[in-house]
Amino acid sequence: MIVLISTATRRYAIRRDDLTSMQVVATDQDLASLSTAERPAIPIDLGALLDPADRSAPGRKHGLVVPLRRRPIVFLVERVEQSIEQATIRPLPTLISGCLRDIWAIGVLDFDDQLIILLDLRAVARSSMAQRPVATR
Amino acid sequence: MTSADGVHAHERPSLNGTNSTTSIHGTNALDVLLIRVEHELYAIPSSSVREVARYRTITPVPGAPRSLPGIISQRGTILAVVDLRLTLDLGLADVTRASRLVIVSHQEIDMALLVDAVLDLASIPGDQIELVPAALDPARARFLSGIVQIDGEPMALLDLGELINSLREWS
Repeated sequence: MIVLISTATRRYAIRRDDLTSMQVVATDQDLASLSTAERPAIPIDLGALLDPADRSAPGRKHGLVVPLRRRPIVFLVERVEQSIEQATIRPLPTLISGCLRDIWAIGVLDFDDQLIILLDLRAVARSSMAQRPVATR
Repeated sequence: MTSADGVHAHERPSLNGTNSTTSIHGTNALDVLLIRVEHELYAIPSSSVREVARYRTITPVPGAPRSLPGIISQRGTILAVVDLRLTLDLGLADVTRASRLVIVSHQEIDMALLVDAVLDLASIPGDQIELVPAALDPARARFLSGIVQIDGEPMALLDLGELINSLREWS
């Protein structure tokens, strides 16, 4: 299943199987509820991570929880738009897929006359964790 | 080749719709599409040009280099967009009403070249194509296969093969 999400200025598609849960994150308590004593969740603004100009204002968000071995990553987005049971995913042009710094974009969905990039959210989470200082992983 | 509405390009009488013509001097001629990038004039072999389209929103791809600002769908085909300004190291600029996407196909690679304007079509006699000046910055010269004079203006012939090679070097 494919899930469409929106950040401050963009839309992306993700695979539902990459997540353990999706839920509203409006308060610190909401975020704390996704953590355990041994494995506190790490919140990341997904839009700003993918494009520094795509930065959302503080406030109520939707959290996309990706379980990593050490800690869960909670990607914060403006909202989860909809789920698509059967979606046709097309490959990115080889000219661009061969040039990507990180393999985060794995396909494209032509939906509502708009091209929407399909993300490998687990790969994004792994990269995000690897880039953090060791003490905070 | 089709063109977007409002594009001021037009075929000159010497063009007969084929990729290569023979000039009155008997030498092979090269048909080209003339474009502007920044204040510089470039020529793209018409044999590689499929279409000229108006600028429209480009979908960015996370992690792509700046010279590849994203993708578009052109008649159902998803194409990488190549920003010629950035590729030629001419600096970033806003798109304008004159900005165009030149759809080209070369070495089985289809792509959309983002240019500042499409100017015209022309036919260049083969014996009027000069070598790229040795003094030109090598980083720029690698993308050029020759220099031609059209109506007294120097224009650089773009080497699409080298453009593709440079993008592949990222991988």
